Amino acid sequence: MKKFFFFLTMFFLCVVCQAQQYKVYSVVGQVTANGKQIQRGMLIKGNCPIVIAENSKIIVLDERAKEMITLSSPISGQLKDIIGANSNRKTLSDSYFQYVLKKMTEDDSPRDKNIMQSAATSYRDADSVMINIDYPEDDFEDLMEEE
Amino acid sequence: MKKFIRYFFHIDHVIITLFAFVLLALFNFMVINIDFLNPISRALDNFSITDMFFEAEHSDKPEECDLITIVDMTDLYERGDIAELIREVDACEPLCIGVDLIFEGVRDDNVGNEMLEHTISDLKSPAVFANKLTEYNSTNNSFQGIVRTYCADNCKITDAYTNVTNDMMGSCIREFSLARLYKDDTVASFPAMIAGIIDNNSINYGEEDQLINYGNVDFRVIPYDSIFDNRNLIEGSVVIIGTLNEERDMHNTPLGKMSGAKIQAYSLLTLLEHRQVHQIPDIICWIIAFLLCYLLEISIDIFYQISKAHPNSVFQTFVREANIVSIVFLFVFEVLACWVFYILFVKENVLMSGGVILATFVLTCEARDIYMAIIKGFYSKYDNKSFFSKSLMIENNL
Repeated sequence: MKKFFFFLTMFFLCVVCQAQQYKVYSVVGQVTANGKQIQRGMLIKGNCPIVIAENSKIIVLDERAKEMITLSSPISGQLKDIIGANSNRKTLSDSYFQYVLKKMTEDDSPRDKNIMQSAATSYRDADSVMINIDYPEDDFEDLMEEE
Repeated sequence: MKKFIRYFFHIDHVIITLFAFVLLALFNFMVINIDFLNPISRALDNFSITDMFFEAEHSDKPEECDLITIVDMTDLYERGDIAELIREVDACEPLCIGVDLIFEGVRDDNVGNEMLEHTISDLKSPAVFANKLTEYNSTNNSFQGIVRTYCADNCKITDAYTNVTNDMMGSCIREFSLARLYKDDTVASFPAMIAGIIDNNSINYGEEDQLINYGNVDFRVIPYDSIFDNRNLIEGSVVIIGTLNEERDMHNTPLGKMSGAKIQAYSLLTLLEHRQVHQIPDIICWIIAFLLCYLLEISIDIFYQISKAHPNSVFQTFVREANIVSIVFLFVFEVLACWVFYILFVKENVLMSGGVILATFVLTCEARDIYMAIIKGFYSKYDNKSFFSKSLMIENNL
């Protein structure tokens, strides 16, 4: 039975650890994770190795601690280790944190931008005329022959 | 009788059934929180059980819809020709004309423009033209822009939006909307507007988006150059003038690629024939899932009881060791449930969230095995007088 509870506890621990990740609020310069440039809005796992180049900066959001963490010095290593050693962190109020997250989602969500943007209809505008235009190919060939 | 009631409401059955739901919640939690499982959830994101139902329904010979006729004008581009077509359709005295076209912008074709404007002004039948809402604003859930036919204001045409409810991420069009906010005004959708004209504005625009009933119906299609030859198909019916073979107006549906005009026709038919698909509330689905899982658990347990009477037999080996009974009952319950869902959907237009019910069936069998292991563990650790000795598992020497 002890084994059962042990495995159950370990399972939950694994799930909880897996869920630990940070949302990228902003990136300035060259900041890479696994060799790829980090983009705004990305989710990065705590154990992901990142490299911050010189004159570069990244701001991440810790959704659990409601913190905004700024990493601005050139460094490489696992994100959680860099964050652990970093003191430039601000604790945000819950409502402001939610506001920041919401704004990020609104700006970046392709689903919002695309929602109901296609229509089940056809157009008969200037473009559709161009598609069906009758080019006077025969006339053109006749003209060339005459010349 | 007392023995039967005691058996039927035994705590074991309740615990196993509840445990199945706990397992379901656990799996749900895992899918949300573990990244590598995301492809599965993404794959299932664009799936609905209704797709299978519609596909199965369409394997039979379709019945012809005598309420809506589609006029295919894919090859017509000149506004003058289209104006002539609308005039011909109007002369056949339809119930209503739905023009699933947007004549965007004024062109150099002055004769065509003039013909179109005159035709629109002279229409005797009620007509609804298409427009498109643009610039969706998620903050107030409204659209800020609109693309209309160029003479919409001058000719005072009735138009309605033809936007479809998808996110342009390759998803299927399964639902249609009745109304949306354009700036501060509520505007009707194309099918809702036509249905409102025919049903004397009986449409409640406040209702939520509805599932399009892609039932086994075939619409009558008339080519643009034989309107008067098919006068009888137009007279007294709703006519939708649109393109059936234009690539730009093709959309993904549960039945494959379909033209916008046909999607509008299916949406309109859903409204006109009150064929709305009624979704059973989630809470009722959960209750049904619980009751069916309880029944499944009892059915499996009854076989374990029977096997007790045949010790050391092949039957007992199959029941207890090979777990055949669980597998067979699981299969039977799943098939029966799918069949009932299908019948309810096709005959009564009732849709049940079958995923929950089917998933809990599978987990009930798993929950039974886990519960059995736990009970055995506790029983061997504590004495026979403990709470666990009352379990059916112990009574049955499992």
